[in-house]
Amino acid sequence: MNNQTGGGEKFSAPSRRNPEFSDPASKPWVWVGYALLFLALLPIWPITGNWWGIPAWAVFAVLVSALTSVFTAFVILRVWKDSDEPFSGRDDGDD
Amino acid sequence: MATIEALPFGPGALAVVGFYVLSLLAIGGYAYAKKRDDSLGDFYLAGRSMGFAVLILTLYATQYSGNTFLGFSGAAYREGLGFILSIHFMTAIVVAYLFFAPKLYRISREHRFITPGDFIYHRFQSRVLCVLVTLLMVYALCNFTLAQMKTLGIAFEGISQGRIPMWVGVIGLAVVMLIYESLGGMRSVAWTDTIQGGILLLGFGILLYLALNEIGSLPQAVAKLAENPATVKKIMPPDAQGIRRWISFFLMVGLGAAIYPQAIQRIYAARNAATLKRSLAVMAFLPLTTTVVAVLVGVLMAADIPDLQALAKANGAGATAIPSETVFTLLCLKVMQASEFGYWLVVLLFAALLAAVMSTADSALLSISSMVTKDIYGKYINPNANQARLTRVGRWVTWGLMIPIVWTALTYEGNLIQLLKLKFELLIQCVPAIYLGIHCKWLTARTVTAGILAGLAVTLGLSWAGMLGLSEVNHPTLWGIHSGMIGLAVNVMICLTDSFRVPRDFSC
Repeated sequence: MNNQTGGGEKFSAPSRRNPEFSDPASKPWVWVGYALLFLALLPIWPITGNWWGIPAWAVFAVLVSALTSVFTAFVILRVWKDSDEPFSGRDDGDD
Repeated sequence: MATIEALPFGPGALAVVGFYVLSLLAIGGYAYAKKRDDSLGDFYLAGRSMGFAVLILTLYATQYSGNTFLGFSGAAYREGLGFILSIHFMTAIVVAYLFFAPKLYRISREHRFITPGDFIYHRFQSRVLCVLVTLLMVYALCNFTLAQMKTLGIAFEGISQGRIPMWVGVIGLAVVMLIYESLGGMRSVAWTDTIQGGILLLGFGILLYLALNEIGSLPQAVAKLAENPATVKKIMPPDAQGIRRWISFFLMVGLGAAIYPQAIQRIYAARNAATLKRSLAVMAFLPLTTTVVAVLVGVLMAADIPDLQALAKANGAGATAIPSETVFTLLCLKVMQASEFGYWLVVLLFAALLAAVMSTADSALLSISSMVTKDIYGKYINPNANQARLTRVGRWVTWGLMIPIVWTALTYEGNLIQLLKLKFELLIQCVPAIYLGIHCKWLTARTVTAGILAGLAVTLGLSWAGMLGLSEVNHPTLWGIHSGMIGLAVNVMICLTDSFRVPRDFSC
């Protein structure tokens, strides 16, 4: 075991091996997007009164949650790229 | 007080449940016939061949449990609109997947991982760390399964109407789960989850219809809550401490639930990346169709019956009944008494509740079995065991584990959301090992192990501060922040020290 890397010599990120792989976690704008959504969903904003008979802060929080779902689906389907082909082989375990 | 046993279920309802249970056994038999070989990959990951429909429904059925019906609606009753937080933290789980699943999926394919421990050992080459993470995950899952079995007991009480003792029902349904799980492993679990997930989706649809039809609209409920000084706080936004609690809960559940072993194993089991991506994309929207409904039921019931505690005292609730967690049952009782149609809708709803509980419990149980077999037995007790032997041991482990879990479930008294909290406190100490471990090459096994131990010490020290004599009272939360999150902060800081010790490879 390598003390510096904790065995890291055996571990390599897949992105280095496969140029067709795109990891959302490596895109700074994805992090910024989630940071903004996280701030938006906190019930700290001066939103008063009711929207459609429901407290506006609660409606806003649910809308931000819906927006987070849309953004997440977008990131999963458009930013995360993986070229692996459908797996068809038999599984022989990993012993 | 309408505890669940007060619901007027007749023989017809029992027949529906009986048919449902028999169908699960039939699926187990079919899954056994479809098994390819006696490998661990086939038994625990269904041969890594899960397609979109099965994967999305098994992810859904596993993630949304009996606690979503009973615990979440109860919490929304107690806290009001503030429990909208649950929609956020269920969405946060899918977001959290994004930060490790893409790489983990690829590495798992290349190295044929079965358990989360396989990744930990591959990444860090440390047996100590692998065992530590495995033990924490097994603890969390035992707790999780315990909560499901507890809910199973409550649901069964309702359906059997006391005609069959609760312990017979819990043990009977546990045996059914064990049979179909032993027959087909993950294949059985995933296929039964497909049916259970379908029933669950239908169940939440029915619940929404019933709640709006029987109690009234949300604006009406909000107006009633606002008029009553005792309930007006249930429509107010959280205060400063409440907001800190929001953040803490959001991060704790979001980060923690995404690394549940059964969730990680479903990432391993996807047929291909496209299937996994499509499934997770759909999962991102399911809190809006599921958690929103549970919160809505809690808030509507808070307006309709504002003082359940007093009602419970007046009517002499059962010793194990937590008043707020009977709101789901109360709604069902109202509907059943209203019409024959309502009666059958509630029967379907209870089938959904059973489905939610069983699908979550069987997945957790299978994951525990895989970790004990592969990461403990296969590595330390019998390293020379072949795949067939390990698979056989895995089946026995599943049966052996169920005995103490069922026994504890039958004797445990406490509220369901409390059970949910307890496990996350410790499980989230594994977060750096997975989230940072997959991205940051500079992270060493020694530091991660130290971080986990320090995180556990801080978490347990705060949670048991009163008992240990460190403080006058225990501190499960401090300034609204869960002790587990404070422990995780210490844990992460220790892990980050590695980035300074290896300055030439600072990048992740």
